[in-house]
Amino acid sequence: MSFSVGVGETLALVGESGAGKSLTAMALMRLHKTQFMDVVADRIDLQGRDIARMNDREIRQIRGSKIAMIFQDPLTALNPVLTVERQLVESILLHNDLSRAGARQRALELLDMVRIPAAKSRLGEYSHRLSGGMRQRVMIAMALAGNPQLILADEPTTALDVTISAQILDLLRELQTNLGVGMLFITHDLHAVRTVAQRVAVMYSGRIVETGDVDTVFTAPRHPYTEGLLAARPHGSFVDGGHRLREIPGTVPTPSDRPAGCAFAPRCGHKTTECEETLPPLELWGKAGFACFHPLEGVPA
Amino acid sequence: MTKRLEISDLVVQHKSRKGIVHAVAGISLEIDAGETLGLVGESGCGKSSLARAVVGLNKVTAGTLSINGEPMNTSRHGAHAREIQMIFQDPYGSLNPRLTVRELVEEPLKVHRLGNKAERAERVTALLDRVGIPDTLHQRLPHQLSGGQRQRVGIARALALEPEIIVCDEPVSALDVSVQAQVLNLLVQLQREQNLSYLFISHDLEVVRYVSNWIAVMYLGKIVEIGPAEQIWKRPLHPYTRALMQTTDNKEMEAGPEVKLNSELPNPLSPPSGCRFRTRCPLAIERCAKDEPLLDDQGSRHQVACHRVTEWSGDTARAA
Repeated sequence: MSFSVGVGETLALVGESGAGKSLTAMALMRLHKTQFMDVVADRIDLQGRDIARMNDREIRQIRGSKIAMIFQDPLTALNPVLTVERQLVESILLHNDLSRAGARQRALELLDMVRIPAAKSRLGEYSHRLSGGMRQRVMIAMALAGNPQLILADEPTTALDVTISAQILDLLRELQTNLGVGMLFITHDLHAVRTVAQRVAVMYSGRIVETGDVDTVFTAPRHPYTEGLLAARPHGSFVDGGHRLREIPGTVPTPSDRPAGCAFAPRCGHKTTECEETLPPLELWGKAGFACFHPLEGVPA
Repeated sequence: MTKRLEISDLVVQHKSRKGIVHAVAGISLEIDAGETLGLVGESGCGKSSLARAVVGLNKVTAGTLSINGEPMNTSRHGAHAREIQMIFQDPYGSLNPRLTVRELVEEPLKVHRLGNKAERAERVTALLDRVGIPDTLHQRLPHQLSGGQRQRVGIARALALEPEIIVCDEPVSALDVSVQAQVLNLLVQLQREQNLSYLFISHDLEVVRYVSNWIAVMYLGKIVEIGPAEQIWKRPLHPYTRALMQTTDNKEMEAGPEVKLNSELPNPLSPPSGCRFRTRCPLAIERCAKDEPLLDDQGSRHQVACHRVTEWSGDTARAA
């Protein structure tokens, strides 16, 4: 797969579980399990430097400073036996040339930036004493500690309530405009995509099947999977209209029994023998495109 | 007319080391035969406590429950298992990992001594067939199934005793979008076929709107707004409901006050005085701290508990 994220831009990577979204982010950070997996990339380019050719020492310098990551579950990502202050100061000192007092000052600034009320009193807290939303804010503050150019956000709002998730999405959008960082936003939540992202890449079974700007892809999808995913969300009322939701029959194939041709073919209503035998390439026009032999007309869904 | 399920002034308390939490603080609801009541709210608002009390998994502190006009025995565990069943969010946690699919579905029949071995086997096959579990999966264990398949097994189990009411606690929240659609379709179809009543709990408003006849919005143990689903969707009146709607792609919502929530749920151990929502409500006035607003009818059985609701409900109520 290929994709790019511009300065101050958010690319959303959407797909169902097992599509390979998180693995993509892990591979970028080289956090995947190297004993079981190989990552083959022609280039992974970060502001002109190729991460794919870096050795472990070099990538460690990139991790956390140039590229930072926000995880789905902050409770497991934060260290439970260290206070918020220790963890924040630690990552600030690691990536910045600051004194301890300066780092403490910076930690407070960061907590203010992510809108933690009464930031000073929160410094001494442990992560389990914070609510889910607060934890996620602390993690965002930690991600910002190294002044990253790119943030990989892996389902950052999935575990949160809708009201809290809306607040976090607002925060991310605002930080991004203010700081000009690029963001790769991984999610399965189509609403979140509409809220934060300018561009979207839809993943299915390890490949990008469609990409483009959010409005175009969501109003006039070309790939049958994208269209099916959008149509499967409830809209309207069963009680009132009595309509059934569109299902996508079957499930995502596991990587080991992925079909020879298009991975979506077994679940697709438009498939032909061509689809079953050959893999449709992702054809791009500029930054938009899709991988399908029988694309939809692009009529609004 | 008697209601399929009637809940009156239900109170559920949880004791903790720090004090008593009124997870459900006096709630009255009713569900007709073949209808769905959707219950929405944030985590910690008491949705699940209510659901669990209804099926007898939580102790009822005060209030009464009745099925078809018959008062329920809330003291004996499982006394109403034949009439009321539950579908859980996480089918992985609610299915015994050491039983096969067939054994799982047969279990409730065995517990209630229904039929002989052959009859039970026949019934299990019919149930699994109905929820769309193919023969090849009948001898599998829960961990060998996908999330959607596990939820189907959970549904088959809930249906085994032919209940009239099913409490669905976030039944599709853990599933992928395309699988959600499959399970939702199954649920609404089963409802039509068997005239089931659902108490459908979810935080996903679009899902709730799709399945529900009625929607109730819960905040810190109280119902703050309740009404016909389409009414709530198009004309939410309580500031909290409006805030929830703004987190969805709802394009049909009528104009009204913009409500953005900037804080989190207050500590349920010491809920705010007066209106429980006032600490997060941008529209709160002095009165909200003193008097607790009660549910008040705004026309067409749409009830709202808010002191200021008439200020923005006026025009739309006259139009309706």
